[in-house]
Amino acid sequence: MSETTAEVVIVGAGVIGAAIAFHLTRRGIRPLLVEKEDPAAGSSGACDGLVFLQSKKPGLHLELALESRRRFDELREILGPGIEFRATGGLCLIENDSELEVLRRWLAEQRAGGLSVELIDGTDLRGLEPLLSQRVIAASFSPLDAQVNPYALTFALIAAARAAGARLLAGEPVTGIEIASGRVQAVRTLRRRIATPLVVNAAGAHAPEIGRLAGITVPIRPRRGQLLVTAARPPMLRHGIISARYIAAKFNPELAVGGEMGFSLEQAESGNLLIGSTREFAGFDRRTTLAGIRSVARRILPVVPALAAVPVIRTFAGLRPYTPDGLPILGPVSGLEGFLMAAGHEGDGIALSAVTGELLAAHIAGERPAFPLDPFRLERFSQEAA
Amino acid sequence: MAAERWEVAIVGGGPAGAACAATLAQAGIRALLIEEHERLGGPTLRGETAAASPFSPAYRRASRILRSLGASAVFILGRRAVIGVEPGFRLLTAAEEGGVQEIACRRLLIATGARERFFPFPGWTLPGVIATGAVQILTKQGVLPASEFVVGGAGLFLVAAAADIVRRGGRVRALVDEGRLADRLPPPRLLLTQGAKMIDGLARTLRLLLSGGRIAHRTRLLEARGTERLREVVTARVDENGRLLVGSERIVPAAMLAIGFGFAANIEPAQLAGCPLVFEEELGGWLVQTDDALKTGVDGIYAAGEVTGIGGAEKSLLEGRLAGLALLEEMGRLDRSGRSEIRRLQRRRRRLLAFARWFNRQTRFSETYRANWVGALPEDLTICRCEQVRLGEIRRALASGCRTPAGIKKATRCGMGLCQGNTCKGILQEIVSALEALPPGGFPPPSVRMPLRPVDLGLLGGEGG
Ligand SMILES: Cc1cc2nc3c(=O)[nH]c(=O)nc-3n(C[C@H](O)[C@H](O)[C@H](O)COP(=O)(O)OP(=O)(O)OC[C@H]3O[C@@H](n4cnc5c(N)ncnc54)[C@H](O)[C@@H]3O)c2cc1C
Ligand SMILES: Cc1cc2nc3c(=O)[nH]c(=O)nc-3n(C[C@H](O)[C@H](O)[C@H](O)COP(=O)(O)OP(=O)(O)OC[C@H]3O[C@@H](n4cnc5c(N)ncnc54)[C@H](O)[C@@H]3O)c2cc1C
Repeated sequence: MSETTAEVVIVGAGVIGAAIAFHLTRRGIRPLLVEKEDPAAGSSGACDGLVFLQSKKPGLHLELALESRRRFDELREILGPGIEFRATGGLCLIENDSELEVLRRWLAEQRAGGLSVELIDGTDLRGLEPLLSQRVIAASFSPLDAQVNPYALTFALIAAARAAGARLLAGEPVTGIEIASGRVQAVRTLRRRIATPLVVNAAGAHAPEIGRLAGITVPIRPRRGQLLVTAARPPMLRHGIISARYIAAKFNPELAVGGEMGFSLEQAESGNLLIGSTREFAGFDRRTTLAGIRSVARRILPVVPALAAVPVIRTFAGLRPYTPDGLPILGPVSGLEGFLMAAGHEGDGIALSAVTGELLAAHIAGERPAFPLDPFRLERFSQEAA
Repeated sequence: MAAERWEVAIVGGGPAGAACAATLAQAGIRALLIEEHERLGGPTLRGETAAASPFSPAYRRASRILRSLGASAVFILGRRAVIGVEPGFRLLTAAEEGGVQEIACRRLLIATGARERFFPFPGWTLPGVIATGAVQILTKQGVLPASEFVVGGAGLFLVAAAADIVRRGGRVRALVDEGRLADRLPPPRLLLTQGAKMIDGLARTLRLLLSGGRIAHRTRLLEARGTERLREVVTARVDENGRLLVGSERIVPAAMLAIGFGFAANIEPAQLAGCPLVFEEELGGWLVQTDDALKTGVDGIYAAGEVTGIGGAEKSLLEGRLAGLALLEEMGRLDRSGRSEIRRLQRRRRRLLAFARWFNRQTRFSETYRANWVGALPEDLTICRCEQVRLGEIRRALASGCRTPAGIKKATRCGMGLCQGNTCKGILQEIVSALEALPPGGFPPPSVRMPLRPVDLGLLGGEGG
């Protein structure tokens, strides 16, 4: 057992831990990232790469996403083309009148919240994306929606952080957190004790385990999403695409007409198409299921019939870190000095990574964050309970 | 098909799967045999059903079984691959004609055989460089893809492939083998128990030598050269620790280079089914774990043949029979004589496993040896053909903090291409373990997900099943 020290220990090298490490080093703070497997081994390596704004609930959630999106322009400059960030614009597809109705209201609120987004009819839509079938009657379009390669982003953030003095310990699960008189003292792995005054819980769907090591309850659950990957194809789609029902499944049951699920669709820079995804509570099982992958295929075919002839080469499942209110858990935890939360981004962690990294780094550096962290703190759940 | 639920389904119609199906048929159980290829027999027997070698009783027995299958009560689903397995059991199958079908069964035998292992060297992706197994399948069908060959890699299978080339009238200019000659000579106890196989091997070696073919041991394929296609092969000698002996390079002109580095078990369907695996280097690396009766760790699933340990056709035949009897016992359909046959087969199986260990050792090398081997490979060497990932990128991914092949796959895209990593995922594991000075089984096996073969989205989302 060796001894070491760190200014800050970040548990988990997913996109969130990576973004925090990156933003800390920009302030001259050199964190130690401790990862049980490899960078992007969790959700951040098993997801889509949509940096979407349309799907965010008007209010806090959308404000956070807008701020994150602004920061992506800067990240692209610093991290370079390797992260495959592309401002493609995004479409949210509408398949029936009741969806159209609700989307009208949703868009009005989003515009009020500062998002540039417009409704386009079926004809204009097929001008933008000729492969969409007649089944799609309209869509909302936002030029701000973008795409990124999520694991390339994670690796690039870590590489930049390491170049600026951050350290990474991969293949080392955190197994203990030492606390004395209400303060964090050290983090333990099987191989070493790391003395530190500050630990950030960025373990995604595993954040409750890290919470337990520190004696706190974190209400995050793994929500499985299964995705299909096709063989690489010449450009077929220009935009990141989601279905209006996808938004419904997230926030508003009234939109989930007919019980059909939503979908997401994008073509990565490599030419592979990513088609998603299910939303299931299935514990930590990361296998894909026959029912799951076939339902995703069946859902997308009538929308983009040309996909029928494209081979699926892989499927995978990721675990979204779900929280009961759909917002991430960020910032300090009362009664536990030196313990910070940065987890629970559910289906938005890639899009929200930039702002999360910035907010946590600012807090750690003792600056006033651009956003107050209060609405995101863990205590909001205990208040509800009380 | 969906409504039907088979008593037993068998995945793979090589010697192991066929022997199991025949055993069940004799007892009146009509099993479903699913084989991806259009013909039964696996790579060994696919080309010819007549005896290939007078010294190999396994061939004759296997061909007899295959002929009997035609007439017996087995339902054969040919040209259909199992691309998914779920608990319960449900199999997702796909065929070019007929699309996707789901099949339900109570019990399952996994007999999916093995594929060849490769090790990369500069030029290994040039047209004209092919697998020894592919050459063998072609020669068995009477096709000789070139007249002059170099055969290289590691292990005894090189001799078999070279002898087949010679038998068809081709010329083998050189056979280069990483291993030591001393390791190629069977220990006396194997000579006693595995006499027929040894005589077969000797006959093949003699045929090769008599034709003027040269066999060079402790010799490495250094480079395959050519512009559009292969023109010549550079070989060099290596020392006991796998270091190149400078100045020993030789250039051999050749139109075709057949390469092979032993075999790796096709464990993917078993992995999908949740069967626990074991890493046993001497039996071929990652394998499906089985007990004495070939039961896997999942109730109702058995495994037989190369998937439980690379050992050749005789072991596969025996295990197919053994698994068939064990299945009958589980179904309460076995009499006393059947039970005593099980015990006899189990004893013979142990002897075959001893042979298998010796056979696989020919293709495995010490940690130091592998470290020197990988250490001498150039940075621009292609590791993943589909995604064009080079060795230098893998080294950089390691330097950037990745520890596992799974992480390196994400960092470099190695194994993300159309072939689904079937060629390079094994190579990546070996390279990373050599670079990190870890034992070859030091990582978890590469994860696997449906579909095991590319399948059109239209079929996956179609009504089949
Ligand atoms: C199918 C699917 C599609 C998605 N699509 C999108 C999308 O288009 N856009 C978007 O913005 N978001 C999307 N998401 C959500 C996004 O993937 C997640 O919100 C995000 O990846 C969460 O990042 P994270 O860093 O919090 O978690 P993770 O990436 O899971 O990282 C947590 C890390 O902690 C490590 N860890 C766990 N326990 C320990 C321990 N004890 N010690 C050390 N390390 C530990 C894990 O190994 C892991 O690497 C999608 C998710 C899924 C599943
Ligand atoms: C190219 C090659 C040549 C060989 N030549 C010889 C030789 O000359 N002598 C010798 O002793 N051994 C040889 N072997 C070793 C050979 O594998 C064994 O001797 C023996 O044939 C193994 O029998 P098996 O039934 O275990 O597997 P196999 O014979 O490999 O049979 C497995 C069968 O399963 C099928 N299959 C695999 N995956 C699926 C799937 N997902 N769905 C449906 N079907 C599937 C395959 O098409 C194959 O027919 C060779 C191996 C290879 C790869």
